[in-house]
Amino acid sequence: MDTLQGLLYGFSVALQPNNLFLVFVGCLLGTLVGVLPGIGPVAAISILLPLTFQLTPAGSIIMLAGIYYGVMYGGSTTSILVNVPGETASVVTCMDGYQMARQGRAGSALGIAAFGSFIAGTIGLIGLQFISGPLSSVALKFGPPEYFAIILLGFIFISYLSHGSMLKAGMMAFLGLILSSVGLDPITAQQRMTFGILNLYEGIGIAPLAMGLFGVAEVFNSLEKTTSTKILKVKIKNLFPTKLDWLQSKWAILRGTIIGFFLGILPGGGPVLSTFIAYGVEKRVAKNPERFGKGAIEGVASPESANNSATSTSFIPLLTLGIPPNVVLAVLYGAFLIHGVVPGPLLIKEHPDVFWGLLGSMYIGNVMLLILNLPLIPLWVQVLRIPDRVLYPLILLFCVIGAYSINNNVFDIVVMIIFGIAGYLFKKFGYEAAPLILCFVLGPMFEVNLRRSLLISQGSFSIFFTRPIALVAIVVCFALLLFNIYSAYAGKSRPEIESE
Amino acid sequence: MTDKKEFIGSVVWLLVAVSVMITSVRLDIGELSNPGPGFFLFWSSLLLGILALIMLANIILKKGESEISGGARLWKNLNWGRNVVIVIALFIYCLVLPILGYIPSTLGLMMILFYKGQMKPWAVICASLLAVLLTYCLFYYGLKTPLPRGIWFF
Amino acid sequence: MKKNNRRFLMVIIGTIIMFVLVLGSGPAIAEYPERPVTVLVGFAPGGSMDLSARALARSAEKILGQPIIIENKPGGTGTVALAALLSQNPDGYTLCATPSSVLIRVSQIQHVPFKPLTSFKPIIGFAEPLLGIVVKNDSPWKNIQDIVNDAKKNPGMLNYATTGVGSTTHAAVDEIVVAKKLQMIHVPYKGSVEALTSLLGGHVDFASLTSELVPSVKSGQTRLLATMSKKRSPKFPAVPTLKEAGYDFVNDAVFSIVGPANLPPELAKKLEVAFAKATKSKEYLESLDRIDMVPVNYNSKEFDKFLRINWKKINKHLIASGLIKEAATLPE
Repeated sequence: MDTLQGLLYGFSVALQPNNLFLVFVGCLLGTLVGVLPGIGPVAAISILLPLTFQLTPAGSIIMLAGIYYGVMYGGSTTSILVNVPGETASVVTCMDGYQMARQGRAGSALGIAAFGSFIAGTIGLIGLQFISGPLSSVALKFGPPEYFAIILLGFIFISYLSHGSMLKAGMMAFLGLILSSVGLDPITAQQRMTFGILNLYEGIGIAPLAMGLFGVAEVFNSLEKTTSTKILKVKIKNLFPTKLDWLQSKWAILRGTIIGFFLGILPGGGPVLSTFIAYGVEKRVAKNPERFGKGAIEGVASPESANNSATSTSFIPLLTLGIPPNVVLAVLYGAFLIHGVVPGPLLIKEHPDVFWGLLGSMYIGNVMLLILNLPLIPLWVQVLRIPDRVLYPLILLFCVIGAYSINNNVFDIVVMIIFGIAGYLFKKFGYEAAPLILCFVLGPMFEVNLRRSLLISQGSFSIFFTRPIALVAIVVCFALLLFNIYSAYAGKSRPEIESE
Repeated sequence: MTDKKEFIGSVVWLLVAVSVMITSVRLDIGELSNPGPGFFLFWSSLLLGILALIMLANIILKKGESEISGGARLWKNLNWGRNVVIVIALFIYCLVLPILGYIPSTLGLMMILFYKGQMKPWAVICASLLAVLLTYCLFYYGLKTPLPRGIWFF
Repeated sequence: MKKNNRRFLMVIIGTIIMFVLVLGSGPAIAEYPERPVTVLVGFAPGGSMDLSARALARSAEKILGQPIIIENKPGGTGTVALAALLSQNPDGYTLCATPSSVLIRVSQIQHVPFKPLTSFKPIIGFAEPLLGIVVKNDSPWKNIQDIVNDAKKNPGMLNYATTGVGSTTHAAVDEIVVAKKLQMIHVPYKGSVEALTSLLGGHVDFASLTSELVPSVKSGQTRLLATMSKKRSPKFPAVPTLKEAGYDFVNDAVFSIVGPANLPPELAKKLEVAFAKATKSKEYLESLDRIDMVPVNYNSKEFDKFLRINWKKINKHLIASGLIKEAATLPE
């Protein structure tokens, strides 16, 4: 099946009435989650995962992915109107978006965010479509040593690209690795750190972990705040950006798209990081950078484009190599497995309906979001008026039911609460949970591929240096590490990014 | 950097690292060319420990610069007592859920949650009942999730 | 504020009491089954165990006259569901669908809180996955003997993938290795798809897999050298079984329904008859064929015997291969 045929097949899958409905539901839920501050795509996908048990694998993946890119559209609305990021990927949109809204240009800001998102998302999808096929056939040649080297590279990117303190990111990463090794040893079948608890024999579940760290913790953090958010009372008119808006932001959209495109593929990159970089780049290339922070439309267009194109391309490593490059896809990876679909080089061949159906649905979803989103903005504004005291108990309830229904086991609720407390404390003490959960998923892959490699080579490390792909990846690892140490030594700080 | 909270953090990580390392040694680390079950744990915990030590050293070395304790500020002006109650409620919920079944135990939990959100008593009861019954219909009948039935079969 | 607190407490207590009163009356016992029967499954929905159990349940509920609800309780390599079964009343309304390998293989490797051979009453063994040894289509090997010859010539050079350490697919190759005193490198994977990916990428020389091998054999990417059932598979009638190839190995992972050991005998009998009838229905056989499962039929007694014989066999094997020193759980 070549790419074009595949895409046609994908549309035929995605346009089946029930799948079309699922795209719609996914996008709508995603936008809702994006609009609501606090709860993000990781928690949302984990909570909704059990709801998909009755669906076909293609249908459920289509819906869960819809949540992911729907969030990217919804997040900007809250940032622009409330000055509170609906989602981490729209933190930077607050800076200029809110200012635009205060100047009475809320419509332009919302409009350019939506159109930029659409353009970038679609370009990202074209990339996903053309890169995935060839990459999968190459990826089949990747054996344990190649996987080991690539994941090692991923780890270095994760710590390098994390915003905030690199030291703390590193610690969270190692904690994630430690947590991931709870359960059965993959090579000798021994139990590790299970304390004789039967429910831990298969390890800690990704969904309760993610729900705890990203859902429950968020609820705790919000509940203790005594202030409430204020919604800007503006009349939103004319959501279509003016000619001037387009002129000002067309290059910003393109730059954002390109930045997101590449950062999406990198492990540890993803939508959130791409928005910070895109904003920084815009500020640097602007003729009069002092406009930024005072309602520059490029400051909205570029990051909003970046996060959508990153969202599309971040599927590339997951679907071809089976390596999730960011937190949301780490959770989505778990969803694939639950539905008996193993992401990796064989995915396109063995589950063409899932792969092409997902791709087709994302094209459709992007159009749907563009059409639906703008007229629905008044509705989202109403949603934002739901008082926290109603919203947060309900989120907590959905987390509880979600955690329970994955394995129909109360134990998972306990796990979720414990990680909820942990996540709350992490935030208090200034640690980011993202490296933890990413390493939690990559850890077992890393370990098992290292040990498989050594089994195949009978304990000789030459296996990592005699195979070209593995060698290149390992050389890049060393180069990055050396560069890191050098720049730390020379006192040149990395481009410091303020988190939240 | 000189922060009580950073100090507490690094000490906690150090303790975690040491205890995991002990476990890993017990599990058999193996050797580089033939790693055992504890190999991976050992290196992860070792590196975690080293990072914690670096952090600790940073704090102690810079101690002279400023002596502000950040510990108190973390909790000030915040209604964190509410969270303690909610955590306790959640744990109790986990205990009673398999015994009482979904509806009664969740009703209790939601009442506490809504009440802690400073709702009026009648609103608390209405909202909790509504939330419980709606989710029950959605999950049990709509999605066929086998919610725990408890001793009364519901 | 304080007054308000107390009033609130009263309201909560009042509501709870109301619930107890309204719903406290238990159901009276009439002829079994007079309400739906729950079957616990120790694996996630969509897996082969889950799908087979659902296929059986769909046919059996017509015979029993009450719906059969499949409840997935994944965890502990399938042992969480078995442990959960023992915490339920032995009233025949809760049963468990489990692969025999969880009872007699997993419980030897990891400690479980039940006695694998005596805590449960076997009711029926109803299906098994299609296990087999496959090579890539460009491999020179045409049968198991070719592999053995090659391994004899190149000791320690061949490597093979399985679906996990101590799994049935591992044990099958181990049987060959021990019987012919070979030296080969075992590379365990997590499940058949990962192992198959590795085989197709040329990273291992052959692989011992479960039913997921069927599509790749049919599409010609891989070649099936042997299956592990008692009889040849109707899907691949030209492929010999391991037994025919001269190895004393038959798939010991049979999907079964078990109840708690103290299940009243008349209920157990009734269930056994109903399930046995269900395994013969056309609908059931067709759905098994779709998911590449092999129908088998062990009655309660036969299955009990099957478990006991294989416990000893597996025990010997696991100790010989150095995986365990002794069974992690006492069998009875």
